[in-house]
Amino acid sequence: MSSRAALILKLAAVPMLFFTAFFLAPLGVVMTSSLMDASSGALSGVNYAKVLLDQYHWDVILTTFRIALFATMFCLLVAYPLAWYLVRIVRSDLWRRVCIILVIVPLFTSNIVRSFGWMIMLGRNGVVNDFLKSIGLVDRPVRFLGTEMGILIGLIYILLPFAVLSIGTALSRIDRSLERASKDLGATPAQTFFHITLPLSLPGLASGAIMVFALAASAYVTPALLSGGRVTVLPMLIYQQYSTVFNFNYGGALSIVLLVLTLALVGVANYIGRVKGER
Amino acid sequence: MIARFVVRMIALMALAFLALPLAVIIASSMTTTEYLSFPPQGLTLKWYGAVLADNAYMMSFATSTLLAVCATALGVLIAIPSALLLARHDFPGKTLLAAVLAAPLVLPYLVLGSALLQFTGYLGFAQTFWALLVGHVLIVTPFILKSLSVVLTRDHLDFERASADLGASPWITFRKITLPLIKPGLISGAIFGFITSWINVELSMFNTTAALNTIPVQLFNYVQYSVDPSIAAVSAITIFISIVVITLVDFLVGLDVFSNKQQRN
Amino acid sequence: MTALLSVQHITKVFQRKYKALNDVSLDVQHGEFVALLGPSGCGKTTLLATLAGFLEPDAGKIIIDGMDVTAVPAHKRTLNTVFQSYALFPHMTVLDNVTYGPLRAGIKKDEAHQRAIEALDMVGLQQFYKRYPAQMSGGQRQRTALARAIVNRPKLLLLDEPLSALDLKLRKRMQLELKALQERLGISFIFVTHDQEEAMAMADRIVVMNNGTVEQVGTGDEIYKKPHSRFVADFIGDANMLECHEVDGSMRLSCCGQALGPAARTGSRKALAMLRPEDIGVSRAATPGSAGTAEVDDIVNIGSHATIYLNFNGVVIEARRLGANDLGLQKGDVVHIQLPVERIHMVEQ
Repeated sequence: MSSRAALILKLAAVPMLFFTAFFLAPLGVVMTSSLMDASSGALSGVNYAKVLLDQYHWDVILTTFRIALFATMFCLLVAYPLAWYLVRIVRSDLWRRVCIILVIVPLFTSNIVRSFGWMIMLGRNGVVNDFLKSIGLVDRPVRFLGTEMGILIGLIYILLPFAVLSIGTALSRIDRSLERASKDLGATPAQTFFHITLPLSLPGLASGAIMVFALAASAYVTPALLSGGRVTVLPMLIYQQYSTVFNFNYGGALSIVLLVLTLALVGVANYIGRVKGER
Repeated sequence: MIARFVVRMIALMALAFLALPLAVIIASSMTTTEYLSFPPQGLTLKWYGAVLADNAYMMSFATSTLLAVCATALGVLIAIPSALLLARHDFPGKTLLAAVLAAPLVLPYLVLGSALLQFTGYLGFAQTFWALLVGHVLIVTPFILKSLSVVLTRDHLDFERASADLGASPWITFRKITLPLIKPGLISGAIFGFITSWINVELSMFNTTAALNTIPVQLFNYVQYSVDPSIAAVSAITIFISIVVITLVDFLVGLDVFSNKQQRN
Repeated sequence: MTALLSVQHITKVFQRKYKALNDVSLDVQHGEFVALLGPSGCGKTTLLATLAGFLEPDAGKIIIDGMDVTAVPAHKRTLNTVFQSYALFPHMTVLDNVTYGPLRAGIKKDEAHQRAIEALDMVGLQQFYKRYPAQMSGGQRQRTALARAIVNRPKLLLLDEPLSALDLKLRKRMQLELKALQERLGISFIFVTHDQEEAMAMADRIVVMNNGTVEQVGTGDEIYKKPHSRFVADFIGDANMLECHEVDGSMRLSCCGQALGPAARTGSRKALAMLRPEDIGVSRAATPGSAGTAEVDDIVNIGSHATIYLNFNGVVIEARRLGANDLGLQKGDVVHIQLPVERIHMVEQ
């Protein structure tokens, strides 16, 4: 064997071994379990049939998607201006650094802590209801906990830093000379934004949006804490199977569905981000 | 310039939105009442005292920290050769290897955690420190790998070639050229990996027990039953740690997230 | 006739310390081809950005066609720019790139389409309407950027080193094409370059800049034969700068004592005598006007001409002969050199 091939193998050995043993193998186990009938132990697609044909599951999956979709949309609506502000409007380096820290600190605070914060704020006597009452929008406290709206707010909070970083990176990569050229050719700042800046930021925006959606769809902690037992999303079903019901076959099928969905979304996001971004 | 004003307003409100829950937790942790109250009635640090005196919490802090330290150390040991390999060489299966090594970053931790539970169950070491460690190494390594791959550019490879050209052995080249140059990426990747491990819930929650617990999972368990200010205090402590660490990274390496530098790889 | 563009005392300071432009004034006439020439960092690109409206000057005025446009934002100024990087919109076809300007000006789609096609034909890109910038060569992209800039029929076109990314042959061809285009359209061009041959080849007048100031303005010929300062003499072509001193009321070359004639008196004691290498005579035999003998240090022969480096009484002199080394000189040879007084131009130090 050539010395180069030997070197490659030496470098790759530990990482490959570790990831095969503790990443690929476990996933393989999940996959095989999902294809086994819980009671008979034989190979069968009964678990997938249950997932894909049962009305209850479709409701859960639809709920998961619906929440994830709205969370992503609102997230982007807020993240684009914030990213724009940080990349284009802020002049002071110090203030920009402070803002970026402000965006990243929540990102690196545990999901549970962040969701806990919303549990406090969204209660009957919480800050949000107090505020709504004080500005006269409502007479009685609104119920947020245990509704999709509450989960939505919590998820938007979790996802916002991802979206800001993603959009901000896309914006900062736009060639400013293109905007100057647009102005030189007579376009007003608004026209320059709509014809040049926005289209050029779209691939990064789309790819970021897809990643955020994938995160929203696979979120467990936030929905679990803010659902009050009244709303169920797919990750919660998976958790049930593994921790209370102990049906690893059925749980496996649910996991694989979520996994395949996430992989597909990530693939699309990569494709858009790489191919369209370099046209 | 109405547009600029509106954008500014939304941005500032978004920043406030980001800070608000964390501020609420910190404030709630100082209430004198025995129950969770915001705004806090009176200010006291007694809940922090209670937390520090609580054995269960202290054990979990220790576990979380030990876990994060070990996972990061192992992650570094795995990520460095991987990063060097992917940066220097082309070989059949390279894309696949890169994808597998990066995969834990994009796949749901929930699925990883449950898969690990089942797998380690078959092997007989489920819900032990080692099982947890394995899972955490999986989620930490891609962070470090990503940071390193940004630093190991084409230019960097020229440095290594120059070193070899001047007669240095691969090991010397690594120690005296590569290692010093990848330090910024290594540090920031390791720190972010450390935090990722520390705050993790979805992967850990399948693989912990009452005796072997991490802070986030313990909080998750408590919060579903009784909500008192000590939970806010623990949460606030994690927030403080996060603020300190992120600010540290900014000073050490710089959080240059919106820079215009294209990565040439 | 009033000038099309009048730049009056423009100053631009960066970060409170660095004067990128220092009291720059110049005029550009209708239909004129002006080159802004200077080394990197001399301020030429900054001046262009200020004219286009991307930078606001700290002092001074910019008057275009009699109107003060100093405070007018870039998208309202009626001039156009060809960027060094071309800045073609990557997500639009060639045709869309060129119709962009007219559409923003409110021109109807059909009419804009028509004008774009005319412009593209003028630069020779008839086949390329539907292509994307990424699918074209450097020269094609350059022409697209040009078409995009002229489709609006501006009276003034700014070009920021548009040919610097092209290889030599293509560049020389584009120089001729650009000049022809400019004459055909009757637009005034302000062409930024650091290549003095390019400037001399294309421009009606050259503005030589250094360190944020204008050193000299004139035709290529004027600047080459009569540079105002040492910088201009050195920057344009090659120059021998010979020290002189005053002896009994007349100026003499310090290296050999040769008298410089009454025209050489500049009134300043610190002047240099400039001689272009091609004006220096080199011969094996002595001639009546010889200034003395010199030793050949080195010969560089590039085919079209040979440069002979001579050591003349301790002073290094560069001489040039058309064709090859026709005297068959070699290192160490001793030759006679002539420093014709009528070709000497005095330059302030």
